[in-house]
Amino acid sequence: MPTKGIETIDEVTALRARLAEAEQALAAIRNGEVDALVIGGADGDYVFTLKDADRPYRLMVEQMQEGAATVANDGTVLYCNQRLADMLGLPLERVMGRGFAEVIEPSCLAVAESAVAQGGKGASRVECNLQRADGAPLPVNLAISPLPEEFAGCVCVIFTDLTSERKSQELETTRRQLAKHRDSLQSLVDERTAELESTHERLRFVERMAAIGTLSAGLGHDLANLLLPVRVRIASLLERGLSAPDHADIVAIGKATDYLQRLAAGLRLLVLDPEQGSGDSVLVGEWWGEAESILRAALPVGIMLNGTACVPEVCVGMSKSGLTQVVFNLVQNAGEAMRQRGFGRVTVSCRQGPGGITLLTVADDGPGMEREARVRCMEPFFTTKSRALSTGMGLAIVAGLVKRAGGRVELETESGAGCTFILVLPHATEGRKPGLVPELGLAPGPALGPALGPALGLVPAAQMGGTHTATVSIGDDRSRAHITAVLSGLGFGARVGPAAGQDDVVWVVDGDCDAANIAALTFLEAREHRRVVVIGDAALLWSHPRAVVLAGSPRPTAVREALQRLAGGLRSDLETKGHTS
Amino acid sequence: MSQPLSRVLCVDDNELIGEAVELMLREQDDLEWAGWLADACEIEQETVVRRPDVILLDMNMPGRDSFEVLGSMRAKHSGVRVLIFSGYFSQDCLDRAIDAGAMGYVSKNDDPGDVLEALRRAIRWEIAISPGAASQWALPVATAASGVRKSEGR
Repeated sequence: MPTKGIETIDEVTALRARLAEAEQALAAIRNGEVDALVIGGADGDYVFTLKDADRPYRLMVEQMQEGAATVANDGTVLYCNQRLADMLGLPLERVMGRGFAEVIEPSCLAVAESAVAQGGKGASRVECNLQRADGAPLPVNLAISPLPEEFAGCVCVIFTDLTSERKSQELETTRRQLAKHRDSLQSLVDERTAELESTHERLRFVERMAAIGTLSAGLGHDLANLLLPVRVRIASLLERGLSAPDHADIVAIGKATDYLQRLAAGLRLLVLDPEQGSGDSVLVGEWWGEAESILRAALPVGIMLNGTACVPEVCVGMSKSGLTQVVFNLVQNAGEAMRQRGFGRVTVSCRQGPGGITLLTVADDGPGMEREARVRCMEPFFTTKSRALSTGMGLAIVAGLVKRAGGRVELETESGAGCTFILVLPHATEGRKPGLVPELGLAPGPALGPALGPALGLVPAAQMGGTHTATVSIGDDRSRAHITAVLSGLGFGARVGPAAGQDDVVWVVDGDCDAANIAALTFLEAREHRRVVVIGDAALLWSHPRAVVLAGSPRPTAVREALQRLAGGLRSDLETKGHTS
Repeated sequence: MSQPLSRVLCVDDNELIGEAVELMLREQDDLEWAGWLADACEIEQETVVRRPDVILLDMNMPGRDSFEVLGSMRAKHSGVRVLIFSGYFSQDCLDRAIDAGAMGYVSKNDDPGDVLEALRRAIRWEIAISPGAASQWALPVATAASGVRKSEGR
């Protein structure tokens, strides 16, 4: 047998023996039967004590910033590091042996236990709160991993304190919220600043308009002052039998003066508060006569005003100044819409509609309105013009005034096809119409008389319709004149005389005349609906239900109010009792 | 025997108005010019001298409040009718003027004929609200009928 072969067999045998020895040593180490290992090295043998082999790991676990624990499958904490004890605020020895349920906040226990159960099979994570000894919750992340089988279902749990993370998160959330609030505040400030600027702009516009209003009022007044002498002289000249050419010149000057006079009247109509006299009414024809010049003056050069279709006899339930301001706004808007184009026509027309309404139309052949403008044009502050030129209040004022008068505004428009505003206005009531006492057939009088009712501020609803008569037996000229005027204004056929007429329903007497008081009592008793008004003290009639005693020297306006109430009561009384005449 | 002429005094700080009223009265058979005052400061004394039956009184004059003038005239010269003669008009003004003793309100924007008619009404002790003043405030003026009839004199 060759020598080389024998050496190889010996070498293999030796190696096998060493392998068996190594395997035995490893098994002994595994089984804990070895206390130390001696490993030979170049400088001698190294002795490793196996008992101390896990010490570095143990130190590492003690030093780590996370809490760590082993938990038995029955939930008992078998081992924990100092960090976990610190997190719980308990001494280390009181943590070990404690139930897992005792270290977790009750509200999180279910999820934590579920995670631990799952952790027995494979790694799992969950966020929950620890229940600290002082009662405060401590947010933690649990990282659970199973231990080897020989540890009989135990798991290893690493507790990572999330307080800083949560605080960072909260800080971040707060920072974001603050940023959001700052942004919204900034946007609010921007919005309010824009509104304020817009309000200032409108205010400046309104101030300018108020100044123009004051100027208009002054101008109207001064025009009236100057025109009166001119008109008087024109009238005087026309009576002198001038030559035909001179006469024609004077007539032409007169026409120009008339135009200026109407302009002055129109200026005043624009300045008057439309709310004043809102319950009044106006004849469209007469209104047109006064308002036309100021409406025409509101239009730019090249824009024509046509108002020939107005129905003169229609009486609408709106004050003259209110109607002027409504139509002025519409005409002015129409003119502005066509200003750039430089030509166009605005037509104001009026017709009676069905059911006691009047349709007053302001139409133009301008560019019309786009859809948005059509929908929003009646809104306050909506304007398609520059703020320096418009408050955006014009059409809102129009809508408000017409609504207050019991009417409405309709708009027909299309882009490129002009605008037509239709004011649907109520007719004036019968009681508001002029001609208060036509039934009595009194002698035709001058222009002053019949307007007294409204001019004296009388309430139309109390007017008597001119079918009842009243006598005024008052000694004082001024009082008698006023009472007579008020009674006429209220629709009574009023006369002045020492005694009441047989058919009179009202008698106004002096209280200081005993004979008149006795006669007044007889007057009252003769017919059940009669009324007596006593100016001054009158003990005899003081308590009579149909006598109105105005003691002392009542002011004319107080007398007027008393007569208004009397007329209202009398009318109601007569209607109830069927006295129609 | 002819009726005595009724004398008209005009109180207005605008002389042109005084001249216009004087011109208006020139051709009238029943009305006589009593003169013009530029203010109402001495209206009571001037009334004694000029003996007007009716006064056209402007509302806005320097020196003296017109409502105070009305009250003073009613107290000291109750037989003199005072008509407010103004380019301004408001219901409040009319109420205050009537309460203070005015017999009516005439607008300077009225036709001269209406001003004359207002004067005649005041002279007859009738309240006179001119068409111009009335139309600025309320209803248009109707001309068909008068609401006042004087059956027997007093």
